[in-house]
Amino acid sequence: MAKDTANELRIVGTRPDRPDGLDKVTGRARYGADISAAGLLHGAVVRSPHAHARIVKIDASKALALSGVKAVVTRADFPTGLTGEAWDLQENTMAGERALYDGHAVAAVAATSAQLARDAAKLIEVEYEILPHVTDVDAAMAPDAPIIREGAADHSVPEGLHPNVVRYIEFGHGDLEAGFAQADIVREHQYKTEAAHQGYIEPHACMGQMGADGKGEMWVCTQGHWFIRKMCTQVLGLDASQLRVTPSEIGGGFGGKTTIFMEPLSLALSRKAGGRPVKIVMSRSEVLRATGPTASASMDVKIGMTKDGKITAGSATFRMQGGAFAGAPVDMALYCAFAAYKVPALQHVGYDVLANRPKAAAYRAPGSPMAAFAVESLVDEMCTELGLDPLEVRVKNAAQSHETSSFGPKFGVIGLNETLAATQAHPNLSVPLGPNQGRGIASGFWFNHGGDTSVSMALGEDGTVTVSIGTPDIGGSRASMAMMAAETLQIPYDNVRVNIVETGALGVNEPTHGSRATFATGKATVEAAQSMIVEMCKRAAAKWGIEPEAVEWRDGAAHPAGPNAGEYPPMTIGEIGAAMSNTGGPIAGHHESVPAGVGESFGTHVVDVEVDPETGRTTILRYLVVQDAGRAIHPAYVEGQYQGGAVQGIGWALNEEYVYDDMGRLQNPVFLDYRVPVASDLPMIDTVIVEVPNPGHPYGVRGVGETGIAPPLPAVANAVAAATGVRMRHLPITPSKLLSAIKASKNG
Amino acid sequence: MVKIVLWSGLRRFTDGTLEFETAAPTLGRAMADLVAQYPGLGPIFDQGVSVAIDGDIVPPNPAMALPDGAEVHFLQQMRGG
Repeated sequence: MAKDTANELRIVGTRPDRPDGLDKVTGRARYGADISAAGLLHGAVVRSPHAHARIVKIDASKALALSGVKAVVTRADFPTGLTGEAWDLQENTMAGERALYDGHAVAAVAATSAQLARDAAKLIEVEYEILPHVTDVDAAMAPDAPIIREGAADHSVPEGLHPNVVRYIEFGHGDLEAGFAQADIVREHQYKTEAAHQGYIEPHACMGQMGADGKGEMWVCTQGHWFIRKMCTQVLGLDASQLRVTPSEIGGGFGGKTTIFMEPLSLALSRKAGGRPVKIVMSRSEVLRATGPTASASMDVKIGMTKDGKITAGSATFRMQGGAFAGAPVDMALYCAFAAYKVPALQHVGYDVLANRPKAAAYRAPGSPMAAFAVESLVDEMCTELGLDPLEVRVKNAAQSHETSSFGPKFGVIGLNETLAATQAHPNLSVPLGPNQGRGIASGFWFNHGGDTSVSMALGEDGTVTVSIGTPDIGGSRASMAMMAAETLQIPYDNVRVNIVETGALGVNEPTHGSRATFATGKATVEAAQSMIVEMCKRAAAKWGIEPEAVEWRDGAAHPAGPNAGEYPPMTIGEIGAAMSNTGGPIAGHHESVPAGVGESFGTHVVDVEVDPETGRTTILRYLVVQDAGRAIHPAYVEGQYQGGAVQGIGWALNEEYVYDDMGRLQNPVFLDYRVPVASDLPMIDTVIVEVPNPGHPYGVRGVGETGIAPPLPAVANAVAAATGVRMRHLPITPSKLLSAIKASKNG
Repeated sequence: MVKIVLWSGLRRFTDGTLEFETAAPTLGRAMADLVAQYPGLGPIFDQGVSVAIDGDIVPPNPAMALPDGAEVHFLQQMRGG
């Protein structure tokens, strides 16, 4: 159970310095590309320039003839016979019979310098037979669409759908027809979002070393090194335990670094090059062409509402393409679509569709932003039509604790009411707006996640503590773990060091994904600290000659539990550490589990925009994020997560999209053309941390990383509609598109 | 008894029934009983599902005990994050 009051806490809820701060501002932190080793080779990847093509022939003889070129690998160097997701990973790592998207790897080369490797890659001759392609999700479902992979559909897909539909999702509850009949108005629209990339600063980078004995090492920038181990060994047909993976520092991931792309290639090249280490660092263009963006979506939403704003029924039919492989987050999108509402009748239908694009990867609350855009836009449209306050309508229909969710099970303790109330009370809502300005409001939801978690903790001889965790620190988790360990052990924050350790040092850990690290690794850290406290109390009890149950832990020391236990001076953690060699040996705590008690998170955003009627440019005037954190362990990091999510969502709403030409080639594979928001585009993002503790975590943590990216898409679109009277149902709202829409509305 | 709720997309495999009562002591036994009654569910379960027991979304551990009076929702497998 979560602790009842923040007053009991000394460290949780404070803002100590970040433990990685000095390393990062001085350049001492080592990221993926910073790794080096004796005998290092550099890898380069040959990528398909075609969206869909049969690979007729690969001739590497000219490349291999270059002095300094040590190895070339193609799909012929990989094991055969893989099935399911393992085959998908292998096929995406290196194309087999066909290249399935622009940027798909078809060969790789290792050489003694990066320049030589790139030159050698250009000498590898690949003969293609170009095939028909499709990149749009609706076009990919059309009867005449080219079939990307016959037989790729799973058991969920009913007969009669196009072979490009590989998963089908359907769930709901209540009498939909009766629900719509009870409404005063029923409205239905189609909404579209484009694929957006996570846009992490650090490109993918790794160094792999693999000997002929099948034993390997990898240093890699990743959100989850056990996932890297599992996936690389599956793709290469190796034993998992023979590959040791060490994570570097990570310059952002947002879900995109929870899978493999070129990592197995470094191992395959190394094995072929006599075991010399091979480093591969992607260019930005490779990142955009060949790593996983999120899906593009085409969504139909229908809602029934009474004149006083009660939602009586809703339906959502979502189609998403996630590239040439199953995995578009259409299921998660549907689970999130109506999660903020209590609706008597709902129907959800989803199609996961193949297209000739790169394999989608997770991106911050996968699916939720698209779903929020569709549902929250329509709710806003209907509020405008009925003359209702959109925030009041959200309050009136808000999902409640311990009641049935839109996706089926009952919610636990949730903080949506408190989040909406905090939004209503915020001064940003009373700022007057001027001409061409508008205010938009929207809510968002994310489940958060538990997952495989293993933590170890060791007491030092001086009473300081080392915590070993397996979730890479992306958003400040080293500080949060140190704070929770220090809080539990009741010792100073600075007496705890947290290390992210390699795959050989702990049990399996899922990545830092699903907003799980502070919840799951934090919960395991607290459990490990408590197991260490039990052992330290035993050591004190043995010295005092009393029962361990008669010893209690407080203020960083063992104490007799009461007058009946006897009178002994407290034994501090430092004294216990100094004496441990003579009292039974090293003292450590462990915890391994898939933690239950995950707490869902809701957020509500309010944005004010101004639209230039001459250019169509949208300027963000002010932006407010209100979100339930459960409890903020380190509030500054929580605020950072809220602000980061908002900024990425704003980019998705206003600028970001994958642009393909009619040959299926990506036209904007650099940041100059793929426009992410920069600091000068934005005001300071205001934040309010709502704290409705999650009873499933000892300090009430829910997880805060993802919810914040869902509301910006509809909030911005709603604000633009309020400013212009024009409803944009297809993101991004670029100046040219908005200007055209404004002109069309004036002419119409 | 434990209440089992399947997602509505499985209706075509279960003659339209989506809610069941079971006395199965574990999640694995409950799933096996369902597959015995409706074999079409077998490949779906084998492919992977997510499970919520009294609202707590947990991995589908076959050995997990089902407390009397619990409500068990099967969800299409949740991915990503």
